[in-house]
Amino acid sequence: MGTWLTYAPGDFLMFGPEVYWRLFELQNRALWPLPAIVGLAGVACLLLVATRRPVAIRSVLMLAALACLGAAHFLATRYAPINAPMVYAAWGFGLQALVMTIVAVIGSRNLSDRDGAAATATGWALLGYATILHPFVGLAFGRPLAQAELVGIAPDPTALACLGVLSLVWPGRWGIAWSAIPFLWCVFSAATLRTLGEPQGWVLIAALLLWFLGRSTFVFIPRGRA
Amino acid sequence: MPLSRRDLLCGVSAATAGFAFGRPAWTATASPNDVRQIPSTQTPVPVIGLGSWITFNVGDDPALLEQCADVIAAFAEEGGGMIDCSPMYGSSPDTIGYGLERLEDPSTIFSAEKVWTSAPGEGPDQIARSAEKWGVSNFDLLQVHNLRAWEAHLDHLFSMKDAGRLGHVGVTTSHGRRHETLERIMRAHPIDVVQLTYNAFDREAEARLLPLAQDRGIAVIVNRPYRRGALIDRFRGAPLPGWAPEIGADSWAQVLLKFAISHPAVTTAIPATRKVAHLRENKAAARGPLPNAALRRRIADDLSRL
Ligand SMILES: NC(=O)c1ccc[n+]([C@@H]2O[C@H](COP(=O)([O-])OP(=O)(O)OC[C@H]3O[C@@H](n4cnc5c(N)ncnc54)[C@H](OP(=O)(O)O)[C@@H]3O)[C@@H](O)[C@H]2O)c1
Repeated sequence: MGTWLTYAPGDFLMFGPEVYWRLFELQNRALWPLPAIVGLAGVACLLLVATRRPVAIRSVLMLAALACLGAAHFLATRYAPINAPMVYAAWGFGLQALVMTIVAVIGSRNLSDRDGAAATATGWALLGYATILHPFVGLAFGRPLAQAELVGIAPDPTALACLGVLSLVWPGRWGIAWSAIPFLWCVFSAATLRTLGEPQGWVLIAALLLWFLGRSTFVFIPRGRA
Repeated sequence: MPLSRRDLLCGVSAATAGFAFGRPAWTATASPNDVRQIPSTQTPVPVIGLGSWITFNVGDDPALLEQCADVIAAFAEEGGGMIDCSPMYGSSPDTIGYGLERLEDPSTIFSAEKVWTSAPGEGPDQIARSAEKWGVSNFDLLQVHNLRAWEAHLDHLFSMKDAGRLGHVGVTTSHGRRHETLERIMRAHPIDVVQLTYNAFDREAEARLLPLAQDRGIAVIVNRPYRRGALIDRFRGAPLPGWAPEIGADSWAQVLLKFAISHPAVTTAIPATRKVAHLRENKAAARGPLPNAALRRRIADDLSRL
């Protein structure tokens, strides 16, 4: 126990930032033109959600399930070779694919429900950020577009998109339970990025705070006042 | 324990080094500071080795694998020495294997691996897998990583050495952890090598472990000579101290490395890098003068104040 207290987060780091960011470049290159297709699919998902039709929402949930499988593939084939425990994370995203499928099957709410206005706004913000802005955020930190992280290929935007979609379709307590895996992933990933000294970690932390605020107004403030 | 050229040449011919790759061929131009001996076997080892934690964990990234192979090639060109790795370091053992395969003459490489598992029964398989990744049949040195299940692993490593399947046996720690246990092992077991953290800021080992290693004829490998680069970052941009030219140091990296290797108990230091220029700069730190005891004290004082 005494020895464990002498470890700092950096002591558990197995790789440097250059190696980490290049994982996305290698994956994008290996899967091309899939990155272009998933980029467009992300925009299509936003349009589908905007229709508010149950069948469209179900389609988006199923696409989110597929995206989780894509992220699991990245974790197992790219990330695990430099960080062995990522095999478990890959299983986690596999499980999340199942969760998204279950949610697609058992239901979604009416998106015009005023009780969930904050959660809905958060959901839109997270989904929009994950699909449209996150692929370009690396540019702001001096990384090339070739290393773009895309929903369905990279775990961070996929997890954020899941948090967003679940906020939209299931703002209540169960929605939080369904969000456990993407939430935990984002916490882990933010900690990894900060330990690597990467400012992008703050972006994830901000997204998590937003998610928490949106969720808590629905879950913890009595209905009719949120 | 710097060697004279005469010692060096005799040492090389009598050495049992090059266990993994055949007899080493350290250059006749090596200066006495360049090469030291593992006391228990008289094996000569260049004083600047190469670590592999983080820097060589590049997965199957072709560009970064090439970069690492270039570093290993430059290391061999600069006289070679100890390359240190562990099954804990992700894909680093594969990267080393990739780099070694490209060497025309790997005989100057001293292979130092570790066994790292809490289940002693898994040790032999883990060692075999590491050897496969490196592309060697035997290692020059196997160390119990961070003293994990050290009693059982040491038994196995000693039996491998007795059977002629291993050159040297060692144990490692870092960050100043578990020095009491390390001291007990050094007193009670016939290990050849001990690996620990030592630099101008982490000097706990000076009190007991380094003198004990000298007394008992145990070679000392210095890890984290730059605190994983943090010490270099700390001094980045600051002018070199006035005494730097006295020891032939052209950079902060060389100041730090010269401090670590100038302790008489130190056999080799293993800075890690993925840059050929840094590798050459590190190797060059062994050439030229090293600080004497008085200057070492001054360096430690001055650096702690900067
Ligand atoms: N318990 C254990 O057994 C244990 C624990 C810790 C370490 N180790 C061993 O000891 C080795 C060394 O320790 P370490 O890797 O923690 O840290 P280190 O060698 O103190 O520092 C490595 C860092 O310094 C930078 N660097 C190297 N040479 C440089 C130069 N000339 N100028 C500027 N920067 C330079 C490298 O970056 P660049 O790539 O940019 O050059 C790298 O990031 C490890 O790789 C490992 O093999 C063993």
